[in-house]
Amino acid sequence: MRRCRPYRSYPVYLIDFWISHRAEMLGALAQHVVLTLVATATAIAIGVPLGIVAARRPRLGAALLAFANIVQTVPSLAMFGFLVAVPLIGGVGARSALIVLFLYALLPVMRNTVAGIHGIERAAREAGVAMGMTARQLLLQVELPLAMPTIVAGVRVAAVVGVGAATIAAAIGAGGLGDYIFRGLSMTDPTVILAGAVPAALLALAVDATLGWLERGLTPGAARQRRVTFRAVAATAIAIALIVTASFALSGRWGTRVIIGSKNFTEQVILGELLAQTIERATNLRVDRRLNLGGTFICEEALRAGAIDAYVEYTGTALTAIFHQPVVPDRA
Amino acid sequence: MAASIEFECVHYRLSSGVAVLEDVSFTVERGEVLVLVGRSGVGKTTVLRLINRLLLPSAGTVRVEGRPTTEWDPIALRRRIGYVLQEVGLFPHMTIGRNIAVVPHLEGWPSDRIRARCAELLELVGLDPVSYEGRYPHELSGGQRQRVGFARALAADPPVVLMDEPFGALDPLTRSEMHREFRRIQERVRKTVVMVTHDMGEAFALATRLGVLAEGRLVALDTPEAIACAGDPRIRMFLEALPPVPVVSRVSH
Repeated sequence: MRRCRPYRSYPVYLIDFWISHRAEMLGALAQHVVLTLVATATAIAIGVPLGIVAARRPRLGAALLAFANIVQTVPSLAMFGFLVAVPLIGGVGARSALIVLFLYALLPVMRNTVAGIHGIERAAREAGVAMGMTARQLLLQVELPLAMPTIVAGVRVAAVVGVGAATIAAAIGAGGLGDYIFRGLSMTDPTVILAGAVPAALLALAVDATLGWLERGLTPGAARQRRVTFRAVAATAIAIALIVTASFALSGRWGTRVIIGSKNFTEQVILGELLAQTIERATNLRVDRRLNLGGTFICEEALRAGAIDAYVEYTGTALTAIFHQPVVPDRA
Repeated sequence: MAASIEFECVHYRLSSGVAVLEDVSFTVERGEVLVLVGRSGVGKTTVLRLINRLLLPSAGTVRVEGRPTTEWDPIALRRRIGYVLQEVGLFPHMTIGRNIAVVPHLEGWPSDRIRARCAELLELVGLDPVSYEGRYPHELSGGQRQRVGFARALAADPPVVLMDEPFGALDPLTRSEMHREFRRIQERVRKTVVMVTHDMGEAFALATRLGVLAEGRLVALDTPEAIACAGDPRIRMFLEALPPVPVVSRVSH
């Protein structure tokens, strides 16, 4: 008789799994952090200026926010899948994932920038103008500092959502903690799912707490400016340390020649790995592995778009799903 | 004495065509305190905003120091005009010292000069520089904030100060204390002040000359003594709204 694992011992299995996979786990965590961080940073760099423009020009602002709103409503898995087929910006791997994550992060950052600027007391703005501030001085010395807590709140939402959405980026070969979730799903092994899901949730909570702390520190009157400056510096230092660590962990993944893909179940991963090692042994080419892509459709699109060079397909699947040929049954 | 501010047949209309000011003419001499009174919405604030070129007249000319505001660079003009609002408009994210230093900072003064000026102004408005410079606006009472607002308006030593219902949000005791303070400070700095208020008592307490605005027009402009004896119903209306007419107590110049 088959015995199920007792529920209570999941933590034990989980900890065992983490310990035995620790190097790989740290790499996945680093990838995850880099994906979220780069996407959020880009969203800040582009979303804040767009928000400022949107706050100044209501009609343009409404159009920008409408666009960002629509993007937000597209399910992330659909967007990842769609982007695989888009030339130039698309494909599989971290770059496409970053574009999707950036688009998701854009709305909260932009919307909160607009809200922050609109929320400034009329008297403060009027006093600035009446004292002879130029538009630029007003923006840098009054509007942005006063809108900052609201903007940081938007960044906080963007980063937390980003940590979650980045798990789905594993479907297009961007790596990260989502790899474990997809692997666990295809193995129907809850331990492996949790091995990715628990750190992702903890990461989201940590990001939320850090940015919440920064947000409270930036609220005028809540704290002295010096302490706020210290917090900003500390947060930046932590972020930079994470980026540096993570880019070391990731550096092996970039600058390669032949890209081998695979679908997201064990046999495919093994086949992909066999193919990769065969090429590595027989040639001097460097091989980049994009294993665990989320299914036939994504592999096919990636192949067509040139984002991967090869993956192993089955004749039956190729005939029906890719070439859309009718199935000819044997005559009995 | 040379005229510091001059309104010549000034009209101001909103873009909707509604006339806010019609044919307003007056001059303010250097060092004078002109107080304009009128009901809410009668265009008092518009007069102030025309002076520092937050608005331009629809017709007529506003001159500051002999030059029409249309010919002034708006930024340069505003830095020569202090502005005090009812809500004060101190920047909540800046210390008191930094708030006072805004215009000197914009003008690029060296930091030791800004520091000295800031301490001097806090002394002038009756706040101890050592204990107040580093505080934030929310840590101060309404009256203290208004003192800081006045110090900020004076920071770059502008020849003209505009005050928009500066004491309107204060309780009556603090308000009369601020009136005394204002007279004491004005005695020392001798700025050209244009103040608007809907409080006739305040107007009598502070004005060198007093103007009454009604329906977009300046219906009277004279010394407080002359206004107090006027027979025009549009002026009597304000006088009758006062509690038993107070003895006019002014520091004589």
